[in-house]
Amino acid sequence: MTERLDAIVIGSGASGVHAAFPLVEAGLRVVMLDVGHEDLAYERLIPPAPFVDIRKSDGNQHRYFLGDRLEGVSIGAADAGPQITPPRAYVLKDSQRLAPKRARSFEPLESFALGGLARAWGAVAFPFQDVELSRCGLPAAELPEHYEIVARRIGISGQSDDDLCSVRGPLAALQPPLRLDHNAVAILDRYADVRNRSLRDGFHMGQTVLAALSEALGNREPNSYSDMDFWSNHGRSVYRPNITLDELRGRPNFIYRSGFLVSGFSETGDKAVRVTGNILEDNTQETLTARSLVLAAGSLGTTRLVLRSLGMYDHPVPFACNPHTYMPCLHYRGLALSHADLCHSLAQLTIIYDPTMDREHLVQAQMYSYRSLHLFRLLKETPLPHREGLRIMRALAPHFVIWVIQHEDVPTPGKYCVLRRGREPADETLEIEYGDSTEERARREQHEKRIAGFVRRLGCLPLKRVHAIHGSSVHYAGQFPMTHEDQPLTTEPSGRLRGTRAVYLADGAAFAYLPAKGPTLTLMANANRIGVSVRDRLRA
Amino acid sequence: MQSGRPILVTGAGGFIGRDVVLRMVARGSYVRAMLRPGAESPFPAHERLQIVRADMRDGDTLVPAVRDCAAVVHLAAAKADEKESEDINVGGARRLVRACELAHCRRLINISTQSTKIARKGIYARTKRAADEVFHGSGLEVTSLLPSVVYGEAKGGVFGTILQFLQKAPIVLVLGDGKWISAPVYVGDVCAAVIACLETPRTIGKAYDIGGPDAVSFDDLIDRIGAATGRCPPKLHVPFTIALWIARVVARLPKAPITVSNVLGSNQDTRIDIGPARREFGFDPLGLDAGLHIVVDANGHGQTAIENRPATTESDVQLARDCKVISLYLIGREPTNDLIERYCAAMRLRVLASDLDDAEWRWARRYPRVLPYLDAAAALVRPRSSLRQRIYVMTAILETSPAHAGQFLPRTRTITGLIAGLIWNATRAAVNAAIGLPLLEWARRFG
Repeated sequence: MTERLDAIVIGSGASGVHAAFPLVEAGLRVVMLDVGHEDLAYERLIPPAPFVDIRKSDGNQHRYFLGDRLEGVSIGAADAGPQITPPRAYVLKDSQRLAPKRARSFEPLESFALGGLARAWGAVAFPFQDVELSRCGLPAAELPEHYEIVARRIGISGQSDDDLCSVRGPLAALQPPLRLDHNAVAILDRYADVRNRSLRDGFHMGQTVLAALSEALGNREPNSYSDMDFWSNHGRSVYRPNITLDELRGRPNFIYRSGFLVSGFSETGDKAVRVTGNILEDNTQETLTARSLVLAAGSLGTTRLVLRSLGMYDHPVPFACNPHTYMPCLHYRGLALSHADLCHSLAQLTIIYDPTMDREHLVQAQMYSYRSLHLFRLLKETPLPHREGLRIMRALAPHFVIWVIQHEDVPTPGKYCVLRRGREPADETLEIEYGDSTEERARREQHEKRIAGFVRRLGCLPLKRVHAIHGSSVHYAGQFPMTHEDQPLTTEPSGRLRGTRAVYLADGAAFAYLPAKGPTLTLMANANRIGVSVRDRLRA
Repeated sequence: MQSGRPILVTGAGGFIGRDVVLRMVARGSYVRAMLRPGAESPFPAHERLQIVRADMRDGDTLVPAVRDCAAVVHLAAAKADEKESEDINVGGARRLVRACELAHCRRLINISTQSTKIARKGIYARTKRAADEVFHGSGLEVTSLLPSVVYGEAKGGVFGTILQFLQKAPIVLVLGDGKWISAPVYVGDVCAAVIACLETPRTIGKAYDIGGPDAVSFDDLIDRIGAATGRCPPKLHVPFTIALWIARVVARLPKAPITVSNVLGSNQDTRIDIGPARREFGFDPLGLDAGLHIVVDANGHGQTAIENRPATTESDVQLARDCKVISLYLIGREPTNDLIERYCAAMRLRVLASDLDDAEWRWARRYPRVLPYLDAAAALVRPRSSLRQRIYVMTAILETSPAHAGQFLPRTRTITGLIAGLIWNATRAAVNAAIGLPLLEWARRFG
């Protein structure tokens, strides 16, 4: 590909692949630059069988369940949360080495994996409502079309007529919902009994909309209900960005380059963007030039690149991150129920709590059944001796559910990112300060108590509430907000970074706000929209 | 959070080096441990630890060792007045500076010695002093630490020599009049100082005395170590001039037990002021008795405590026995050999993540029958103790083996059976904890 490139896309995550898609589809010459870690050594050991069968028969299971270096057995040190199991540990590999970060009471997570953080995505796909889109800075009128395109591309399953529909954006391209497990069925039944009162109190509940297949799509298979979704993805039922990347890699006008760490960009006189980076294998520098640049390195990665390339050191930019809380509960109304072994391990149910009754400031909670994780993890958290604790947990495990509560977040003056110079370029450190206000904390506390009350009404007894360390939701945004106002370090609604000619932001860094719903689906839809806008400009 | 670029530790195989490496890795740093070519690595494998082979006498080997490092902690030195002392200590310093320049690594912590301050210098003191000058004149961002006598779990340095004498010899030879004053410092505190300096830019360009809070005479130090190990052979003082003369003679032997530098270094007092280190990077060393208590096993066997720390030195036999005890406790069955191996490997890996007090575990080893009570009590009052962590690791291993999965997977029960089981097990847990609490306290005091 010696002719001039049309676009360079940085990053292969949820944003990168969907921003690249319309460009590649239109026949433009696109290069995607990525570090692209991928280590499937553990995943290859995992047989395509249900969790319970693997437990009873696979003599190798300790290797991927615990990890060869015991990385799956946390001894009290902070860990990245239950979704980063040993087979997925590569998702966070080298994050600190390649991109130094510093933060107090905040755990900044960044990925250099092929497919990015979405390789460990919980697959909850929740279209934003218009009001939420507008507060993000996104053009509410344009997004629905892109939601549909992305939904058809990635495959989404869910109910099209439950109580959640009124608190989410529309989505027509839905596969039938996945089968619910025994806890979810019972809780949903109970909800039907208390529905009217709940809706009056602002609680909407329904089945979680998931980027997981209930019917075949292309060469991907429907979910096999083997309860292994935290560990493997046989049949590719759950969507991961590498699936789209594989499609792109089949096109002659697309090149994927891994092992490339981008260090910065500059615009040249001849209407081109120059991107510089290092080939990690031999640490040599290389420069590529293209007509446009799409930044999709993830909110933190994009922030680092923009601030460095513009020389904006020591200059704070806004920051937001969804706070979230785990609420393990005993589903006591279900104690007498028998449980089937075959189920999926993704989120089963979603609650949307509308405290202001105007659908403007929602709170979200998702329910998981504690099944395909192990009892030893629970034991560490309980003040029980191991032997008796084991017997108690074993009896109760089928009835344990975890509600994960997620709050909206707005950038406030106390939350910011700032790039600090190092002695060497490689020492540059992104400092993250997450200082939420007392009012914010009090409001979250109040909402969590209301949700705890609601799940009690549904037959779940909350055992405790664990406030996850800030940052562990990995939903980061806000640095270069999308706005119509012409201010430096903001993004135009077209995705173009103000002050540049052809540099576009396709990831969360351009979202001015984070609703309580997970942003991933919207990131993909918006990235597709940015891809289309870049395509149209390049064609013009 | 620490930068993901590694920190190079030269002299990693040495007495202080080994400890620095393990502690930095345990703190979450990425460490590159530099060992001499051919030297056996004393370290267990760890994802944050790299081993690099290089020689202070060969600049070409140093450049790749320094490459990509965020900083260097320089501990490698020739201590025994060997012929290459000049080449290793001074020439090595020049080569290391050059390598840092080539690799664009600016930050260096230089571990020097109090001996550089004495008036009458031996080869060691002279070459280390010259090395300090090389570093501070280099333009790199250097901090020098000048430790007094360093003591620790492993045998090494002046302390190790005293300990060996105390354990075996009928008398202890004291070179000189025994009035020499030092401020012995625990090796962990030296490591803490290294780490603190790396994180404190204002220490750049400065040199700090590093010692414990207690200044003691040589005789006093020997007595205190003797008291801690339970063996106090009589001391024999060798007058300074005679000691020096002996040292000169034995220096011709291939493996000299003492050197001229030893004699000179342990007979000239230096003024040790740890005030600047306290003020400027929060240095807060352990007192001598507290430090010796950590180091010397309380059993009075004179064995250093590292033998009792999990993993690095616990023997497979011992760990296998532990594994069986825990397995019998948890599931009432002895583990198969592959599970025992897995447990041993796990404990070897795990040492880096913990820095644990083991008194109750030693007690549980002696009296396996009390394990259920100790576990129940520790769950309430010492949830992060070594005892809990060992059982926790074994639980994970049992739960992920097909032979035992049946005891962890859910089974169908009637609601009455389920509630009866819950009540029975909760009662047992409570009773065991009630019995275990005084036992645990006893074990911690006297175990």
